[in-house]
Amino acid sequence: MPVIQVRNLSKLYRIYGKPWDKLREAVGLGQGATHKEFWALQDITFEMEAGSTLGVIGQNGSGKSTLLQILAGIMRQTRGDCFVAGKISALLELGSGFNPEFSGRENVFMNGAILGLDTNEMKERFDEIARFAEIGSFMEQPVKTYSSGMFMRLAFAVAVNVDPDILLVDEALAVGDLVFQHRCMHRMNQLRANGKTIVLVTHDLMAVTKFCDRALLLDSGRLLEDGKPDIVVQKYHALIFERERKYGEFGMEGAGDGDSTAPPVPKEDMPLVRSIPNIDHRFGNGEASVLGIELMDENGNPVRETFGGKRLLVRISVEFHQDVAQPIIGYTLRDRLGVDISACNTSYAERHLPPAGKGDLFTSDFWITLPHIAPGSYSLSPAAAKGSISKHDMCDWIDNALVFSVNSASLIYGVLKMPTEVRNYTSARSPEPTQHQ
Amino acid sequence: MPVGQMIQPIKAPWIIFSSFLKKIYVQRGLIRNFVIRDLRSRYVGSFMGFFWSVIHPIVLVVSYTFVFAVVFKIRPTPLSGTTNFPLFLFCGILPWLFFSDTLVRSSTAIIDNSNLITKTLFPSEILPLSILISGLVNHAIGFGILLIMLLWIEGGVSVYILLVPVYLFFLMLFTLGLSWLVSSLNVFVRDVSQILSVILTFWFWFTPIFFTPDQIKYLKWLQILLRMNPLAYVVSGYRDCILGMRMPEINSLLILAASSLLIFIFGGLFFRHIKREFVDVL
Repeated sequence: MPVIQVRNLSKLYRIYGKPWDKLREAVGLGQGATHKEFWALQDITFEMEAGSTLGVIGQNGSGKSTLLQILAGIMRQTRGDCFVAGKISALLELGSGFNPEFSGRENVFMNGAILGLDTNEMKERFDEIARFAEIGSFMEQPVKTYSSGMFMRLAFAVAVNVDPDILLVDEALAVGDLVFQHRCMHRMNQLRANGKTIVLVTHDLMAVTKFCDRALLLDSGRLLEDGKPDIVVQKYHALIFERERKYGEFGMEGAGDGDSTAPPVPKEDMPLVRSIPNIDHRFGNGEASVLGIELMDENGNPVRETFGGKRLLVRISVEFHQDVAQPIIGYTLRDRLGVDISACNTSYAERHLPPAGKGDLFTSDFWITLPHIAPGSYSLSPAAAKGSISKHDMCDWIDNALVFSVNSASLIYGVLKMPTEVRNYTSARSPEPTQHQ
Repeated sequence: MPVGQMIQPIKAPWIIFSSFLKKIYVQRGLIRNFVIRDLRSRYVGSFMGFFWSVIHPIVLVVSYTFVFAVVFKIRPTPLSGTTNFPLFLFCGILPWLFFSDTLVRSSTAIIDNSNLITKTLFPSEILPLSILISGLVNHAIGFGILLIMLLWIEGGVSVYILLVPVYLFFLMLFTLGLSWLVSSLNVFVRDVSQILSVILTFWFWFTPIFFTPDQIKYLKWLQILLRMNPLAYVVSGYRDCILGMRMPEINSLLILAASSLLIFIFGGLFFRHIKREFVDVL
């Protein structure tokens, strides 16, 4: 049963030269007033099931916030339908309606009233809010005396304790410190576990892949992609790279310095890999293409299943179709949720490649010792680029070109087992030495 | 053969308006919060607190008394019910201050709370209403001072004073209707609050606060103007009731009732119609 149904939703902003024209149009006398039209949203269609979590990503001005305002019922769409079933709490801005002159307690009750709770309902929730906000005796002080962290904790505490069926969050979590972000994320996970429906608008792509079941990518008011978060995030990355590429010239920053470490090898003796096991998504400017990627053990045998602690070789071969002054070859290691685990490239490792000419072949070998990471499936995404780490242009990028699985003999908590040395001390009386003879 | 035409039900304005009022009633908890917040934010942190709401009308009355009664030696006509200028003035200026303060403060109410309107699902129509209600508290305090003055100077209170709430009621309807109109217009055209202060200055002097309608019988055009001015009925009504000179004319009360209801309903419908555009503009 979908709790949010959006069909062909469009939002048009009319920008008038004179404010009177907007008023005339609002009153219904505005025929022929000159205005510029701007579509903030165009033909957005999606549904959300109860209890699911949706991430909405896109560049600034892509229409994310407008979409949330319409879902929250704050703004009216120009065309299309938008049905939302259930009690909504919209966290579009932390502390809207907080009055700095009043105490934290007074603002909590005021904010609750704005969110639709009466005084009794707020009284029931007050202790929980106070506990979450953790501002202690400041609760009775005017909000203007709060640090920004205290302010945000209090505002967030109120919003999530309203007990909504549907929670709409717009970038609200990005502003706090790390402790705050962790606590918010924890609280959001609780809400999700309690079967709440959550829509999260954010620039934090990691949060989207980790937290959401699904993601939407908006661009210039249009829905570009709707699907699994990792796929959508990849699409977003591709979009950004494309924009960056079009943005213009790339400097020759760092050219020449650093030692180029690629001894020329006759073409027939080049170590080359020419197979790409999988292509989820591929983008780039076409000045180079990845010929192949392979994961091998020390004997050069392909590896698809391995253990933590193994020494492995990631080999990537690239062919250049144009002259590229500062080539970079590298890869990203991701887990099955699409979270970046690690990445390496020739520039990052300070093993700079020499300038590439048209038709040149390059192979980079990355020798790694696989850490004791959690068992599961992992992927390698190879790439060829030009420029420097800070400023580069993607020539070819292949998402999840090679998938392999990691097994583990022992249990691994979290993401990885850290190399750790444990030392114990005790003040307890040492037990009677047992006889080990 | 068509049995009947499909007619899109067009809701009568009255039905729309009553549902608008019902929605406001549902929000009474929030309104109470806003009234308290408004009252407290005016006095919280200020040394003399509520005292200021008393000072303001008194300073006005004293200053005007100085200019008109002391310098220009003007005495109210005995027909008005008192010969004491401050008392005469206070009766008229009290409803005016309630009206103009509410209107001026309402005119920027929507803009001042734009983050509530763009970031939360907020019933913006309660903002002018909260200001009106908190102004009512000030009005009551002023009325208390007036009663003390009345007892002190005239030594008694007329039974007609019981009719003051009737005038107050229509004054509230009229003020709220105009406040809705002005506050919503100001969202689109920010000059509205400036224009308002200009209009209010004229309005103040063209309302029988310093004179009674009887005194200007020789000015035909002013009489016509006063008849079109609902505030003139309110001010005269307040004065006649408080000073106990005469039973208010039923005709003028009816005109006041009709005009204030009209403005109330029109203002409410206008606000309801136009509020959906607020988010786009703010």
